[in-house]
Amino acid sequence: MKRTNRIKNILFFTVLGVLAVIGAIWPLRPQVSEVEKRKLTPFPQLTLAGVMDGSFTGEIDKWYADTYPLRDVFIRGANRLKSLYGNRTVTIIGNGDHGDDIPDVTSGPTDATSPASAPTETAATQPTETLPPDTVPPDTGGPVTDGEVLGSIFVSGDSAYSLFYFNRTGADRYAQAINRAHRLLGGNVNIYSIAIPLSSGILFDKSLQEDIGLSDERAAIEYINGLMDPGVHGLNIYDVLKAHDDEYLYFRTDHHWTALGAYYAYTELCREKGVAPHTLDQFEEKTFTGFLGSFYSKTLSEDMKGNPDTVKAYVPMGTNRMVYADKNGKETNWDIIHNVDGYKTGAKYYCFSGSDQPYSYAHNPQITDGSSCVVIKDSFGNAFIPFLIDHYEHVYWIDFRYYNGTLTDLVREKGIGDVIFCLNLDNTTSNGAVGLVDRLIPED
Amino acid sequence: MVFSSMSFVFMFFAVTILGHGLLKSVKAKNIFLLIASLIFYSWASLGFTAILLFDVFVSWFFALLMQVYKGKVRRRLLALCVTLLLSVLGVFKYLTFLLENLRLLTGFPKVVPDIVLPLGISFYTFQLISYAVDVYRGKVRAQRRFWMLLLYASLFHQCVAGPIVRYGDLARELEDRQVTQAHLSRGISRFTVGLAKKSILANSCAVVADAFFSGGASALAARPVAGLWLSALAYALQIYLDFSAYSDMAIGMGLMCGFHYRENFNYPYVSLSVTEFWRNWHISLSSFFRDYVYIPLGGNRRGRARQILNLFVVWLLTGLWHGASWNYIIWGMFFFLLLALEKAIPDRVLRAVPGVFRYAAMLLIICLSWVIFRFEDLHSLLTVLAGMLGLNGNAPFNAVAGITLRSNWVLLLVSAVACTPFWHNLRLWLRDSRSAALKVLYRTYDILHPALLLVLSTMVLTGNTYNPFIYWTF
Repeated sequence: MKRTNRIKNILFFTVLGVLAVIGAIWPLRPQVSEVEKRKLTPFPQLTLAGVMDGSFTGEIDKWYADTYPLRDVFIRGANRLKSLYGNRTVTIIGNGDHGDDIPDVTSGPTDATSPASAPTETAATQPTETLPPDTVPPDTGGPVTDGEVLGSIFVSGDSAYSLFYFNRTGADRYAQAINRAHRLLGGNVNIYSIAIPLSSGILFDKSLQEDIGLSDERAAIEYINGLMDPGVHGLNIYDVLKAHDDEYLYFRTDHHWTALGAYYAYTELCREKGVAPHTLDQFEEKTFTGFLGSFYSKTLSEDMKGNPDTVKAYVPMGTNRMVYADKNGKETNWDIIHNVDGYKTGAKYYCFSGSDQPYSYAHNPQITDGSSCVVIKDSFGNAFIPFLIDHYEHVYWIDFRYYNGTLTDLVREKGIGDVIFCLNLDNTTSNGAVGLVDRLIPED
Repeated sequence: MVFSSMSFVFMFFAVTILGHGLLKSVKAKNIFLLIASLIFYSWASLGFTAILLFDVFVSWFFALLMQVYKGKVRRRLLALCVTLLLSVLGVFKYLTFLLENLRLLTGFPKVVPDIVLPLGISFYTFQLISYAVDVYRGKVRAQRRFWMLLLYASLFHQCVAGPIVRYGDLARELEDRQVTQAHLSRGISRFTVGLAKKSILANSCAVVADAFFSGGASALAARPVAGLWLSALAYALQIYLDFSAYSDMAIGMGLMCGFHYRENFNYPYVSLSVTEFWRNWHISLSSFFRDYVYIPLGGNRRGRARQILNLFVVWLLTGLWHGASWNYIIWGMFFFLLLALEKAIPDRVLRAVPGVFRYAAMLLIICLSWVIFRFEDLHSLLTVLAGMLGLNGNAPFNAVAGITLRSNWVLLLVSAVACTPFWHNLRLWLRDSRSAALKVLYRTYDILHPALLLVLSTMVLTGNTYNPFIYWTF
């Protein structure tokens, strides 16, 4: 027994010692995580206040765990361990399981004059109350720097789906922002709004959506469009996507739609504008294999890893050249459909439209009528923009999260004719995102 | 710094256990432990340490005086000491709650200060009260050296989450103790089992509990019946595995330093009555209330009516000890009523009920009690209780409940087994087996399990820092 104890003690203290020493080797500590796409917690600054209130030491705890040298190995191990907890072929990650009721389109917004509204909880319980100013959620003054985390997702084997929970106050506020743009820019500028459905709304059948408690995406878009001024073109692309729901409209390992999904939205825009859309076979097709997107990062699913996505992109006919200005305003020449063959597996969606730069621009020399449009977009919009190139002489696109100017100034300065909002449904209904849309369109 | 954090295990624990082992004399070990404990305690906030020092000073000072004086003076000294200690606890733990309720009733005061609860104050206050009372009763001698009493109260093993160690149990070992290989071996096992219980099982059960218990009242009102019960079950598992894991780690670290703390849990979830449950749940707290409140009030020696009153007082205080909020008081009263009811039913009647029914009833009681315990917001609490009874008009079952159950059933099963003596008994059976093969199996297990559990727990703790973003955040 004594011998057993001794061996056991030596083994334990050796393992403890080795892990403690590894933890103490500062240079081994990673500072960024590629797979998580974030900076890891830095070592905190020493301040007297921080020491007194415990925040300094609390940050050290976070830093220690977040930058532990073997973290990638351990994270994969933890993932394996958790796969033993039960049958995890189908799981739901996240806990946003309660959307607001979507009112009848004709009932109108809760408070048409309020520039902003309260958080979901209040809105859900008191939909008709005028909100006091102190319940207004804080707006983000500048560009988003905290990245973006995924909302709730549904994972089934090698596929995952974004789940949608309607937030009425955000939707009202989005529609108000669009109406404001319409009012400020006047009748000569056409305003289009394309709220892009999330994958579960298109790919799940109705009964599964109801069973999970998802909000009806079609009704949500109808509701938003119903709040818009008569002159605004509110498109509902739900039906056209639903009609093709057996096609590759959304990635399985990533939350974005594919270029094919974006193409159907483009045909709907053409129908609204009364122009003929190009057919897919008119474009040169590029294929990038081995894409493991955000859903893979989130789940580290072995099933997804074994069956990655393929990104297809359609090169515009008029030009494939664009210029983007980064966050510092530095301009770079780039390809609208960029070759991402050498890129990491998680970065294949970056092939579209220069990805998420604050401001981008393309000139199509094949068209000389002076026509122009600006797309106010999130990353979903990236796959959509290439289809517009062959319809305008000038195409501008701004990322609503990072662009520092205002939409009205840009439209007036460039003499833009069409303004196209192209955001996913989450970004047209969540308070945080809509706050940033608001910021783009201040009152004159 | 919580026990189940990477920084605690690999910085604090590793260094202290090494330092304690290397030092030769008990005095040096004690000084080292005191410094380590003060660092550990100050880690949460330097300001809290002042309160700890004040409380220790009060009990040290009054205990020395009580040693000198007799009779009435001695009693007054005790009263003053306990009043001071309880006043500090009262201000930091209950003043906000009291003023909040006063404001609701009378509109005064207009602004209620938001006082931060110092770490572990409920635990060390009770330790110091027990010390003062035991000195008063002549059960222990007053400690002359302030720093030794400070070591008793601040010892990081048990200072912030128990067990509530009595001074008498520790006094001898504070002066003289030995750490043998056997102590180390047992301590290592307890510590790593506790670490794994907390980091692997309790933290994962928490995810299931949060699946249907998170959000405000309007979100809770939409949850399916089965989902709420699933979360209630997971929460009951979480709370036991979490709390008992802290005691396991405390007892384990104590053993590694030569201290023998008493057990704080004895498989409470296999109890057949509420009385038995409370004999086995947080034993150091229930025995504190028994020895320092219930028995001094007369216990069961002054008739049935007085006994019920004493029970009421004890359970009101037990409820309040857990937190300054109405739900804890309701929780205490829930147990008071059940215990009073049990006392009213003759033993032979209770025994006549088949064990399986008593066990089922206890499970139900335990789950309900933790639901009351969980929701400080009474509106949310009532919503959840109504939802569990199917009164919120939701489906009894939905896809989310099904998916949550399917993807966690092994976890919940293992966690449930971890709440029973099954593993403990299996281990003893293996150890005492006559079969050579089983003996080898036991030995192999005994040697490997602490290192293995440490690595698995570290994996999970690191895994919890995994927080992917869609876009680069810089």
